[in-house]
Amino acid sequence: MTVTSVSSLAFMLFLVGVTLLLLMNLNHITNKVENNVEIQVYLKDTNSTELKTLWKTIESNEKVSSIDFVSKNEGLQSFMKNLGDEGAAFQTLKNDNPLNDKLVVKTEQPQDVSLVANKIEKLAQVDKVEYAKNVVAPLLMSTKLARFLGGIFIICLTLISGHLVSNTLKITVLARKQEIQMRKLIGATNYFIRFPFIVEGSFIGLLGALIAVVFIGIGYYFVYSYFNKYVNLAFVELIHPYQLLPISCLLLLVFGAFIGIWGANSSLRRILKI
Amino acid sequence: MHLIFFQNVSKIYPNGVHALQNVDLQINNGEFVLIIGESGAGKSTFNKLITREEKATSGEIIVNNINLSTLKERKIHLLRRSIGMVFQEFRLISKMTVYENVSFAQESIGVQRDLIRNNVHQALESVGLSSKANRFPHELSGGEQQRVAIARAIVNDPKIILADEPTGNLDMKTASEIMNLFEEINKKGTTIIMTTHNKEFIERTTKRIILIDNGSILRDLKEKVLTS
Repeated sequence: MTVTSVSSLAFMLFLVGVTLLLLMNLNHITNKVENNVEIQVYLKDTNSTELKTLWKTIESNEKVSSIDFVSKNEGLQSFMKNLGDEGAAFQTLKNDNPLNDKLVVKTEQPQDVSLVANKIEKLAQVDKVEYAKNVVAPLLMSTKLARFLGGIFIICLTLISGHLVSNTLKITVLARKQEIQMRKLIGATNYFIRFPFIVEGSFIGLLGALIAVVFIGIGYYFVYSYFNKYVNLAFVELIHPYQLLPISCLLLLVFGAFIGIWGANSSLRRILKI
Repeated sequence: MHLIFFQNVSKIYPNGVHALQNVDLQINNGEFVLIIGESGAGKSTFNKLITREEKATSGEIIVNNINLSTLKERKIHLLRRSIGMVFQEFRLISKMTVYENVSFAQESIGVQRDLIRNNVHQALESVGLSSKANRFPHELSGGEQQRVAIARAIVNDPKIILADEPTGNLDMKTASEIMNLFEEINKKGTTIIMTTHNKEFIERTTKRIILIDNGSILRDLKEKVLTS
């Protein structure tokens, strides 16, 4: 029975660990994207005085963290570079550059991007404003939703795991019911009676967690290697195993022990009431 | 000061059964008291109130200077250490030897290992079972098993022995031996409270008899002196 419980618990803690790693990586990716969200402010033909005034106006907004100027020539160079070999075809545009000068504005908080962009759009010298409007808001919402659902999932798994350990130990408790009842009547403290079951419970929890940790460690290492080799998306990168695994494995071990102790206490609750 | 003091004690179970009604009772140190009554009279409830397995619905109970009405859950074990219990069905742990069944009582209250050995042997000697320390309960007769249970009850040197029909499963001869054992324990100063419906004992005894019926004390016959 203990072997079955340990393996079931290991599976559940494995799921908890996977959820945890998913959430941590999602968080990491979201932070990266958020920190790189820029507002592209395309300018009308402006002279240096108008540009200075515009700069000061934008800078005066406390939600703005930085402003950079990109001339139309620099813009064209960057555009051609991004296209690689095909960029050479646009060489002829150097003399008749259709791009505008632009300002690249970053905000303190990614949630402020829309607000700041809307304000800048209304300014006189601004031709148009672009930002990843269709990416930021959905990404933030998805992250919140994932955190919420992930949290619910972890809570459910915790309750199931605790129940599992409790049921395993209840069999031992039932087998020793007469002994436990006699100890209570003789004058043993609840602590004295609980202690061996708590030890057994935490052993089950720790063993289950250890098995889960081994599988998670090996699994994440392979996933990380595969991702680095075959997936090449801007801002989408996983946290390095050496950064992520020590803390998450330790958390899982502590969590496993906690579930074991909680399950042990739960299994004894009724019998200790005499 | 009484060792056990009941004042106007009633016990009503959640299902509405009035197990005890307005019971007043005092038991002094060193007494040997027989509680008699038919099944359902309230004898078991009386015992459970003394050990705080149940709490009185009303009234005051004081046992060994501890007020059970105000006793906190986490202190109940201290009350029970002053009470040794003997049951009709013995309640020995079948997978433990005689020695282990008795030492179990000492371990449960945290007695040091080097003291346990001596105490257990003394207890087994007083019930005449020193030679059977390594036997298991199923290897003993009913009378011997009850002696082990008595050894377990006395090893922690309690003030009170609460015996619930201790001779109920024994033949007359063995029952008589067990009663003699209780008398010896009582002579050493331990208060004995024994529930029974063994008519022969009741008729022959000189001990104090409390008759319970329908949750109330019908008669409280003090210890009588036999005249020739």
